[in-house]
Amino acid sequence: MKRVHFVPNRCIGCEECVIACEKAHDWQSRAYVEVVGGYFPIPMRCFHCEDAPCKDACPTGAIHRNELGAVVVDEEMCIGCGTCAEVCPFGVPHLSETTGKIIKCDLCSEKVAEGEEPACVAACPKTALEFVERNDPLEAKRQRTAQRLKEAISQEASSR
Amino acid sequence: MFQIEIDGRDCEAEQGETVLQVARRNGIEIPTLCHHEGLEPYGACRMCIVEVSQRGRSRLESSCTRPVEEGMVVRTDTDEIQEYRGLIAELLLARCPDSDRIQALARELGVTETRFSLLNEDCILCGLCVRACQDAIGVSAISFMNRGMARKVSTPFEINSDVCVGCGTCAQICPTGAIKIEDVGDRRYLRYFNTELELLHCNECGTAFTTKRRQEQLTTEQTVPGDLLCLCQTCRRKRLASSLRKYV
Repeated sequence: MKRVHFVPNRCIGCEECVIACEKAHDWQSRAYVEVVGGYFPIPMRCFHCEDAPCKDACPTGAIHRNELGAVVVDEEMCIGCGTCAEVCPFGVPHLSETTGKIIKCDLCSEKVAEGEEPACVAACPKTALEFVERNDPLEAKRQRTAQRLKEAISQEASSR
Repeated sequence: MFQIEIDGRDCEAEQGETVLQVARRNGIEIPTLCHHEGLEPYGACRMCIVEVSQRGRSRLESSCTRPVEEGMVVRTDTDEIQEYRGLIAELLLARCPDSDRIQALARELGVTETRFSLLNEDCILCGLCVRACQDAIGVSAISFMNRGMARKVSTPFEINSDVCVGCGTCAQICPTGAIKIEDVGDRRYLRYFNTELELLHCNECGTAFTTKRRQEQLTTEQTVPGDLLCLCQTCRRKRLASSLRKYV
């Protein structure tokens, strides 16, 4: 199950991901870049939570998990009550002003099913967004830490 | 699993499904107005009428409320159905001549003008708002009142509702745009239902983002931390972003 993983250090706040998302979804973006502390840009989007509050709260069952593991909205079933938007801890789903339905990240499921990357990931010029298996970043982190430990140990050994 | 015939095509159907569901799954288009996938069928507008034949007898029924039965033969596009749908469209057009949605639906059915006198109402009594409020939101703040010509949607006694949470679903779902929501200062007005509610301001930025009663409803029904419910959507994103910043 692949997810969009972000590496905040690499983000330059260009908002290319937001524009790419708009292009892919009828000019209504589902991606955000929040600037923290004046100059730290952090790319934000739906996390497709394991235990998704929006999915549990949806009164009509319009929000469901699809075969890619993404939490998506069935527009036909959405009544625009906004409950998901109000319970999301991360403030991600929002009501579309044109259709009156909820719009949220669908992990570009159509593109992913055809073997492509989500629009935001493909557009990111600094690879701050990666489309990877859920546990891959953790594995990479462990490798990096192990590497640092190895270097520290060899340095200490050589100084003796 | 059994077969039913729709417009000469054999379609797979399951017990408990409606004719409309089976038809749509097989790519047979039936016009609808009061139907919503997320809500219980109601059969108010009669736009989805089809001809159902069983055991040699046929009659017109609304496909959204008609459960499938084995050996059913359904016709969705006969001249008689077209005529009735046209008549319904004319009646709706006479009731709400200014609604874009009704005009578009009538045009699709080949109806451009109505022979009935114009009423200039805004509600078509489709019941979408009533069903959404009752089934989905679970507050039943509004319902149908009166009968016949005087039938309308309103709160009990047409006064400020005690239970309305001001979620705005009725306004979002209304096909004619009769219900409108207006936020002025720290009050939310649903003038169509003579209802006003107190708005809640975001703890961080101060924007009014929901109503007080809606927040109380969510606090009791959902397992969301209370401090998060006091923040608007933008501030929730900002808060998460700043907490992520610590780990970079």
